Amino acid sequence: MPEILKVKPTRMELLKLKRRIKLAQKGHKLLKEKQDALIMEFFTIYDEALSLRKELAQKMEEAFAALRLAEIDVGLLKLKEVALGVKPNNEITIRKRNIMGVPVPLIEAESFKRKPDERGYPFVSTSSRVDIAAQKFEEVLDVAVRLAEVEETLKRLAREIEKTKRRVNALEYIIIPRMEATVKFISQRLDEIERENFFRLKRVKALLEARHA
Amino acid sequence: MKIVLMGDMDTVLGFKLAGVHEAYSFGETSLETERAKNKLKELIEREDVGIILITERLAERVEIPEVKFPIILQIPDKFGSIYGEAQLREIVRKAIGVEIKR
Repeated sequence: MPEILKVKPTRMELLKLKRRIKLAQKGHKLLKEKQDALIMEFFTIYDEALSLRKELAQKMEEAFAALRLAEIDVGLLKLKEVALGVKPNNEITIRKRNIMGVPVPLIEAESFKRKPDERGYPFVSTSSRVDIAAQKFEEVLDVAVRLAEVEETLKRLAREIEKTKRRVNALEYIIIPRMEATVKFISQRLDEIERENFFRLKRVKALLEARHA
Repeated sequence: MKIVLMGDMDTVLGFKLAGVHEAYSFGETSLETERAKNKLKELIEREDVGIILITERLAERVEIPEVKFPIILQIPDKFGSIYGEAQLREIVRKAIGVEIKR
């Protein structure tokens, strides 16, 4: 038995409560629909994140293999020197996008893949293996940036779903039952008062009749 | 906005070749962990950083705070991924309440 709200058992309160229950039910329905829509969106993005994760892991592996070969070719010290000379790649722009009222990031980035001569290190002292390693890592960067967007979106949607779920449950199992119990309590109480009054009238009438007779 | 990498020496080397804007390498000692924590804090407060890539192994040692911006992404390193898909699954489990296998 859910507990009841602290209200005076009056007709006014009864009407007010009935209106509130209607409102709560409408809100509950809306929230439930929002939750369903969010979950659908969530799974589409989840699939995308999964495949991107796999792609990233595979690309990373390839990239490190290429890096190892480059290291063998020119030596670690030289490779570090080369890395110092690499020109910074394109910058990204992060915008906001809305999915069902949840702000999620939208990353705009051009491809990070560059031609060897755009990287900015001299070819004289390096080998093609270095170019391959750099290219592989540029590919990794491409995937990583895409994954960053998708995973962040996923996290935010998850948080929103959790929040919505909590609200739906609170309405369904606590707030609405409590108000319904209160409505029941008030109407019983009002009936009781009515019966009391009725009986009192009868009693007074009987007394009056007895006195006149 | 910039992409910043935090990780071990080799990861840093590779991403530098790809032209990541800033890369910081951290060693294994606890002093280095402390340094990484401070760096992460600093990067989060900076306005021009858009994405922080951090290797899973480093992320394990420094706790990653929940922030809205910048985006922090954990990436595998040369030894491969620690979690694989486990982290994604955990997100789903928390959100939906059930685990999904496919």
